[in-house]
Amino acid sequence: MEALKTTAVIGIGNTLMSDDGAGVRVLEHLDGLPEHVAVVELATGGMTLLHHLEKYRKVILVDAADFGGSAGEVRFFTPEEVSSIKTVGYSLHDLDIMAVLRLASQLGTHPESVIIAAVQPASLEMKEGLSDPVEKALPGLARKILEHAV
Amino acid sequence: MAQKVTISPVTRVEGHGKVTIHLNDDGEVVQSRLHIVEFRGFERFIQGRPYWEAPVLVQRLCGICPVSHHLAAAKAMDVIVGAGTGDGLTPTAEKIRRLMHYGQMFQSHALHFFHLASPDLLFGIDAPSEKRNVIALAKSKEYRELAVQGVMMRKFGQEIIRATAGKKIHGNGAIPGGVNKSLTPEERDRFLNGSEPLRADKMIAWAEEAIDLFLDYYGKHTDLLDTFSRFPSNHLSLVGKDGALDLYHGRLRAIDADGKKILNDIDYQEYLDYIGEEVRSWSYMKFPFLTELGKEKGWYRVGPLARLNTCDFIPTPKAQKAFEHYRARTNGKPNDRCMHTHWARLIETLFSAECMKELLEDEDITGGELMAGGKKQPEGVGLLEAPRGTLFHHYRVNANDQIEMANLIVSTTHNNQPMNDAVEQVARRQMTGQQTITEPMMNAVEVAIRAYDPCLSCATHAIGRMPLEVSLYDSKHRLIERKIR
Repeated sequence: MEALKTTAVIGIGNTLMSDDGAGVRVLEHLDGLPEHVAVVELATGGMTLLHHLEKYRKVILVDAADFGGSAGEVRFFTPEEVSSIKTVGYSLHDLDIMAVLRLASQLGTHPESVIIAAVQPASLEMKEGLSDPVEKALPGLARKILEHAV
Repeated sequence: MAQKVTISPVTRVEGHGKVTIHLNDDGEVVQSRLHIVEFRGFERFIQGRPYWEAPVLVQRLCGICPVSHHLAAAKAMDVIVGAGTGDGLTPTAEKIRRLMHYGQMFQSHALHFFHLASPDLLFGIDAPSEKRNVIALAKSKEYRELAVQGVMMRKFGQEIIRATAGKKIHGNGAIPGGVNKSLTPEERDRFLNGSEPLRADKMIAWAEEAIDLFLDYYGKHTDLLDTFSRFPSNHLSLVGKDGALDLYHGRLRAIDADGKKILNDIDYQEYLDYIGEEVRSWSYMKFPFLTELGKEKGWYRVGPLARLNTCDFIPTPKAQKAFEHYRARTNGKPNDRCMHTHWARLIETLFSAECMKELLEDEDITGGELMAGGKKQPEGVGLLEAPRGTLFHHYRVNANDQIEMANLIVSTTHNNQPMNDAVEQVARRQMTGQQTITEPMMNAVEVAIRAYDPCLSCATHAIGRMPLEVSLYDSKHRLIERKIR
């Protein structure tokens, strides 16, 4: 069945750190996905993203990201639209998702299309559960993800 | 959307990867510190949870080594369900867990080498940071194959994890007292004789090639690798039977800088009798020490360098041969050369590949007896050697099967003092006489920290990454300069 999936919605984040988990929590709201769409819980899997990217033609990455918006605000953009920050780290625990995408490009395993669905976090403290504005944003975020996935 | 989107590093916790350097009136370094925030909150978070949830929950602590936390917690829970430690499990459970662990070690070590270390070695540590990374490796005609190889080695390890743990991320393969599945003969055959390159023999061959690559560089830059960030220390790790290198189970051994045993293969259930944790006012992270030597002298290193110092031999032929060569470089004495950590890591990569093949060829791996049990205990400690060093999980459970106490000591915490010393040493070497933070100095700090691959943001990922921040202060504690990379 896996082979028929050409699109993936990949949820990124840590559900133990409140809004950081939004990208994972929104996956629960994805009702009525078409047959060709896979749902992947990457969570804190970092570099493992590379092995998922090679399997799909289209990928939607959902993640909490600070793009200077208001809490719970949702934005969709492509990797080309992100001016990223740096390329070298000193720890593997510090992987930049944008760097993983660039590496996939170099290796020829980048999907034809990548969309980033970002939600602006309000709280990143260590607790389960999202902040109110982010929790309320999830159904709308899920609807938009569905539109992009079709 | 024509406008560029700027994403700031999502700052989970303040103070990540921050280096402060204090100078005296002559511009000499008097003190340097690496500030890392430890993820202590998890221990409170897990209180009140049923004990059997721990092996699954703890995986969210770390995106890089979830399997290490998974197995360390499962080992502690083996004790709690009365299945004993290490040898109490069924042969199939023990070997499936070992296979999972060596798959994890292999993929993590391969990732570290190809993603972090090899760009330094191939492009030189003075190359600009934007050119010194795995993407540049993949771009270059000369090294592209190497980058692909690194990715495939990681993939093989991930596939082993998926087959044994159930899922690539947040697996549930290990459960208190055993495992919930073994391999099917088809799964086993795929790893042994499947399509190229994802088969065990190829992984062994590539691990050997990676050692050759390191040795080639070492031959050309002997002085740098022998002297960069070198200092004596104690070393701690588990060792297996007869002093063999064993990354999954064993007894705790610590040696001093001359190789003399401080801890002589003790049962780690008793670790509290031998290891203390010091709190210092300026750091969120504790400083562990061997109680016999005290806070001042008792600190130690963990990780690949420490493990190849404490063990007596490696029980697989190819890795043993590489180990003999490695040991000969220091005349059999403990190795205190920070950059040799990369060498040690590659020898462990080869060892892990050989272990995976050995385990895959063992018929127990497809066996059906998965669980053991016994008389329930209120407390248990689980230890293993994670990619970056010894990992401690300690739990106490109440009569309602709820966790009432958890204590975790991760490898980054063990390495707190050595990392601070490494940073101080390169800061002294690079800074003296200058009142400014230079590029070579930033590079040197980065390279020194990288050898330990600390968990700066366990449980975080990030679009946008944590910066390395270096701050320079004068003798009146006034900030002279701050650079962020």
